[in-house]
This record gives sequence, structure tokens and C-alpha cells, in this order.
Amino acid sequence: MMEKENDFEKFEALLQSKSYHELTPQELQCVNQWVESAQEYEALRASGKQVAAWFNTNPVSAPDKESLQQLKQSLRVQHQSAHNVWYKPVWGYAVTALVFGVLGWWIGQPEIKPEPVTLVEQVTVRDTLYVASKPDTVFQEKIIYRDRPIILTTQARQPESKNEKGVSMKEKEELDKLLVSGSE
Amino acid sequence: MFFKPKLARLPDEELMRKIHQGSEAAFTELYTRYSASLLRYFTRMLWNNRTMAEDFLHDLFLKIIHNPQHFDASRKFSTWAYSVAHNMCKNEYRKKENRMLLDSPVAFDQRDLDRELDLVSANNRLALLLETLNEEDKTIFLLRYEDELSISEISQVVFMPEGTVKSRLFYLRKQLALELNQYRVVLKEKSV
Repeated sequence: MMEKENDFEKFEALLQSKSYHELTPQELQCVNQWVESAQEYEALRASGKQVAAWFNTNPVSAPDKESLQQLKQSLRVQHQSAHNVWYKPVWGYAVTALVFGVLGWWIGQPEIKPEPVTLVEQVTVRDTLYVASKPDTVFQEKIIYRDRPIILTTQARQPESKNEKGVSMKEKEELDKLLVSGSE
Repeated sequence: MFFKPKLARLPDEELMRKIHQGSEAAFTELYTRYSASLLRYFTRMLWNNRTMAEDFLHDLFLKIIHNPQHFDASRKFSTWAYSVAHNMCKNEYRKKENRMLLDSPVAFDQRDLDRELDLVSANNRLALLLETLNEEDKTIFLLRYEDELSISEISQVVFMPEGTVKSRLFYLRKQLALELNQYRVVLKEKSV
């Protein structure tokens, strides 16, 4: 079926150019895929010629130029808004003046001196880098309990401030002694 | 020959790009290339109504002016333009079908036409036979035998596989040959 479809254009070309009796055996093989008899082939050939003749005798004249002019007008309108600025002569003059100005400035510029060539030398520098890593030794605080001697000797009496701390036990005892002796 | 204008040498797709930029010269060139063949296609498709065909042609080129971005640059311009034209005709056929249904509920009878055909000349008969074809078959037939498009181009215009286009074309040719043959027989009988 696929081959048959591929041969259709060849079959059409043969219809246009050769009658059934002029076909070679190979061409006949192609043609016989589409038609069953010489009559059928000739009928197709005749109708094809008639169609071609009909198209030639009934031509359609070309469109008038007015249509083209209208279409061109539409195209102009379509693109006028986008390029409107260029249609105004003032802008045209301004742009021309600007172009000439830039050209004049460019031509009148002094010759540019060449820049000195700088040589860049590559030097290898060695340095020591300290890379942060985990410490080898872990320090840990340790509590050591040990006996400490306590000195129980009395200290020289410190002068006390008046009525600051109240009455001590020793003073109370002395006062009691005085009271007892006084009552006697 | 050696001083051929530049635009005439440009491919259609390049002209479309220039039209997108607003080039009138490119538009004129493209119009010159395709207006005649598209008008012919429209005229044949639209029941030989020249005024309607000219309007359709005008509308098609307006579409190109207003929406050039709709053109797919990866496609060939000619097949794209014909597929737009084909769609426009398809819509018109649909409209006409609806109008006919509203006007007269009686379906179009092929045999009535055949009876009338016996009375007209062979050329007119061919024209009338073309009129009896549906929109798609007519498009395929005209594009192949009048505008001489390749099978591959036609398949792109009507969005159909190439195999279908070929088998339809063969069927149409066969039908046409049969009808014209019958007509010749009728003529011979009449002359006798």
C-alpha cells in the first residue's frame, strides 16, 4: 500500500505524458497498481486533459491595482505609529545635525597615544597556613578534696564600734557579774 | 537578468520578516507573487463569485499586515497562505450550509443536478461537477490540478496525511472520468 502511494505522482505524470500503449513494462507495472484496464487508463487520461483545458479556457484575471493600493495604505497606517518620529522633518534635521556633530568631533580628536605596555611577572610566594582542626588533648577540670588545718588561737581584741553590733555574750556575763556584786 | 531587483530574489519568508518591519516594497513583492493564484483559488472555491473572492483576498492580505506574527517562520509561506485561505473558505461553506438549512429544509439532491447537467455543454458540466464537490475535495483538486502544488504541500494546507490526499485525488479523478464518460455517451445517443 505504501509503495502504491509513493507511485501516485509517477502514475499522474504517466497519465499526462503517455498513452497506455506507449508504456514500458516497468511503467505498466506501476500503472496497473491503480487501474484495471487500458480503457480505464485512457478515460482518466482524457478527463485529465479536459480538466487542464478547462482551467486554461476559464482563467481568472489578476486582481486590480486599487486593492494593492488600499492594502499598502493599511500597512502604512499600521506602522506609522511605530515610526512616527521619523516622519517629522524637524526630528530628521535634528538627527542629521547630531550625526554630523558626532562625526566632526570624532575626526577632530587628537591622535590617541599608545598606552605603555606593562609586564606582569608571576612570583611564587610560600606561606604557612593554620588550618583549624580538632584538638588532640581535652582539658577537664578536676576537684581534689584534702584536709586543711584550722588554727584555733584567739586573736587580739578588736575595738568595736559603739552599739553597732549590740551586746556580746562576754559583755553580758560581765554585766551580770557587776549586777550580782552590786546587789550584795 | 543580472540586475534583478534585490527583493525579487528574496524568499517569501524573508519578505514576511520585512513586512513585519513595515516594508511596503516587500509587501508589494509578496502581493505580486501570490495575489493572482490566491484570487483564482478563492474564485473557484466561492462559486465563481468574483466580488466575494476579491474581498476574501483583501481580507487575507489584511491579516498578513495586521498579524504578521501569526506566520510560523518554520513553515513555507505558500502553504501557510493557502491553509489560511482554505480555512476562510471552510468558514464560508459552513455559513452557506447553515443559510441553506434555514432557507429550505430539503437537502441538496445530487440527482437533480445530474439531470440538469445533461443539458449543458461539457465545459459547463465540468464547472458544475466541481461545484458538487465538498469543500475539502475541491481544495485538494484545485491545489493539485490548477495551482500545481505537490502532494506534501497539499497535505500541509489541509492538515491531512499524504496518503489520504493521494487516495482522495485518485478517487476524484476516477469520479470525474466516469461522469465525463457518461456525458460523452449521452451526447452520442442524442446525435444518433
